[in-house]
Amino acid sequence: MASETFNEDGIGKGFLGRSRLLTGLGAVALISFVAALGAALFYAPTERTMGHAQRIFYFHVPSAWIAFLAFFVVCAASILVLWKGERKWDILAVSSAELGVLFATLVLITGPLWAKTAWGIWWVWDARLTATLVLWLIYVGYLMLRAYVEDPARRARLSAVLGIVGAADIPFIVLSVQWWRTQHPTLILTERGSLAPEMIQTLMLALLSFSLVYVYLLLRRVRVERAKDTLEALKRRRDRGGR
Amino acid sequence: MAFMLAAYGVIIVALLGYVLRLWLMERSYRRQMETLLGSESPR
Repeated sequence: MASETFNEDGIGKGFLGRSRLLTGLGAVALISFVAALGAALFYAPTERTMGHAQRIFYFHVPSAWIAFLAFFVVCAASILVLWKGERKWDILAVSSAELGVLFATLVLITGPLWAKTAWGIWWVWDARLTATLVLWLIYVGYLMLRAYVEDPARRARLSAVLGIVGAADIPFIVLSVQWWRTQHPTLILTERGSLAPEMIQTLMLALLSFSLVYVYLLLRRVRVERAKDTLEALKRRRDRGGR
Repeated sequence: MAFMLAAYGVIIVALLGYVLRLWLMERSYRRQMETLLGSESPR
């Protein structure tokens, strides 16, 4: 039964708890992030029409990629929550949701900063921008829902449903630039007249770096949630012993 | 140039802030655990 699984003492065991491995991953993520930052600022050439503002693109696109990846992980973990009823999938879902909201927030901040230079306005209500804002709102709602429901099993089930439904917005965002004539540019990497090789290399490095940062932060967040579970289990044990 | 620096600044501050938040949360939980385990041990 799902409710029993969610109320056991010592729940959440089985996920990565190896501190040294995590520290090593953090170091690799940090080095790659600094390398990506250096490449974006000094290696990639300055774009002719937009100038330095175009460099926002090197961190804006990876932020969007990680937000989508994070919400996809929420969706997959949420399916497993409903199917298996195990706390570890709920931990993965909430950890990834928090990161997804963080990176989606970065997308929604860096995008307008780029748009003000490229378009002369901060925001337009086109399909991609609006759908991205909706995605952000859905997962902010997901985190709020989790904060308001006290029963762990009920919280896991309800948020899992929202986590699955919310991810349906991702393909809509990705395909919106093909379905409608939107203001948001489409990324062209292969055709002639597209990005310079140095720009593509910088973008790839930034994508790799952001992916490593995401995995590192996800594992750290999972570890925090496990520590919280262990603490709650200890409190329950103390309360039982005190009676 | 100013918008680019603002964008990069926001990203760096947000990521560092999140790492700090995780570190503080974990430290708080571990300290509470140690206190609970410490109070249990004499019994």
